[in-house]
Amino acid sequence: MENNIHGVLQYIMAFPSVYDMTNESMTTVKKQHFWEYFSGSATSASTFEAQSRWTTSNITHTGTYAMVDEADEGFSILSSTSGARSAIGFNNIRQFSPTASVAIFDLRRMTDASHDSYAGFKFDDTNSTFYDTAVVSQASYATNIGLYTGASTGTPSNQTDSNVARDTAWHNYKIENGSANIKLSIDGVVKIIKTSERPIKKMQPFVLNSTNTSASKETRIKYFEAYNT
Amino acid sequence: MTDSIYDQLNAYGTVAKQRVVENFSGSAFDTDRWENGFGANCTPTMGYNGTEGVSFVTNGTSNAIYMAGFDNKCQYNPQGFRYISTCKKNNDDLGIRSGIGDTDSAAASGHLAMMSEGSFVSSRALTTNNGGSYVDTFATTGGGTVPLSQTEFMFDIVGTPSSITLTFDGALQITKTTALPTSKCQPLMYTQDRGTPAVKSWRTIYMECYNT
Repeated sequence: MENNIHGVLQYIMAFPSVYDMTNESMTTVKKQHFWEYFSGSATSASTFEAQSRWTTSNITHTGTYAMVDEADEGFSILSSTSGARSAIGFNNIRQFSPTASVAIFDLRRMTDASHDSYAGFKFDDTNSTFYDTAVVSQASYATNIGLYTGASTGTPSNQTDSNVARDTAWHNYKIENGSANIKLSIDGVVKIIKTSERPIKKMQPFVLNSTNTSASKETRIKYFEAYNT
Repeated sequence: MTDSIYDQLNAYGTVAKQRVVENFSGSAFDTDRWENGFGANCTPTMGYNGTEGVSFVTNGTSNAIYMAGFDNKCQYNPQGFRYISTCKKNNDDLGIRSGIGDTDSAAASGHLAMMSEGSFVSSRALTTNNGGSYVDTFATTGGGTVPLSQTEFMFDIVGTPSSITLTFDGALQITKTTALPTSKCQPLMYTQDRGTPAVKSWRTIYMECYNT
């Protein structure tokens, strides 16, 4: 099958629309769904915000946001001050269910040491506390990639580790928020099924880059898709 | 059946390559995603004269130009890409190129692979450059050419390390193995008023570009 939307529509004539491609029946109303390719001319936070649905969030210090001028490298979030936390979200417009939603995204970190990256769903994009959160975590306090989740304020939040070591390579991640658990798949393999510390409130897409030293640290994201199930 | 666009476009669990899809539908051409790298006196207009997509409309000034690009954010590999789009011109004396190139800030890209229509060429061509001069290659399939026309058509450019092909309306017409670009590129849509200045336009209703 041709791996482009035009080709899909040609090959699968039963799917004359994207609506049909992503819904099993015309008798059901499609749920919230978006996808982002992170490709374009954005050279700053303001131009990125103008060309996309995302907003930037300088949780601590001011980050740098821009498309990467390289093949297959997507969008860059750069934090250059020790303790800086730089994020993108939906300006706290929360359209995704904590118990029936999916996020699929491709993400990499450009460095490993003293560098934390998180991406997935989060209630509040203006802080880095993980209440009502379900994010994949690559953080320097853990050896492996993990699933960091938390319920509402005042309840525990924590990371569950996978058996995949932290690195600086691109990975494909899938977070599935279900009614009984949250699943994290890394590169197509389910690595974590978590039944505790799960979010309660509605959430938004969220990507956070954080540096723990004065050296600049960068997270790149190339694709983000989210939908309710 | 999957609810995910991602899973329908990529092998499950693999990291996708760069992609962009434009439907050119809305209240205005997205000049935040696209920038006019150089040129003036030509305006991208949605729904021009009640037509579909975005039209690039010259204003009657001599040498009116619009170069839509990604501000030289070059995320596409000329040796492994695909560019699918549509074209319909409304005046024969208009130069049109659409594809990928390494610069939107000058009249000429050092590296590019673009479909050429209009008075730039004598028949529809695949125009490429590998750091030298533009090389127009015309269809030889069936021993003929693909004539210029004002009929709407879709085209599909596919780049590999050894060749670039150009397909019109589903029929492969040009396969090119020389003057292949090697520098990373961005999507480009170029418009130039030629001949007697006038209000002229061409439109596109879709553009998809991705690395393979």
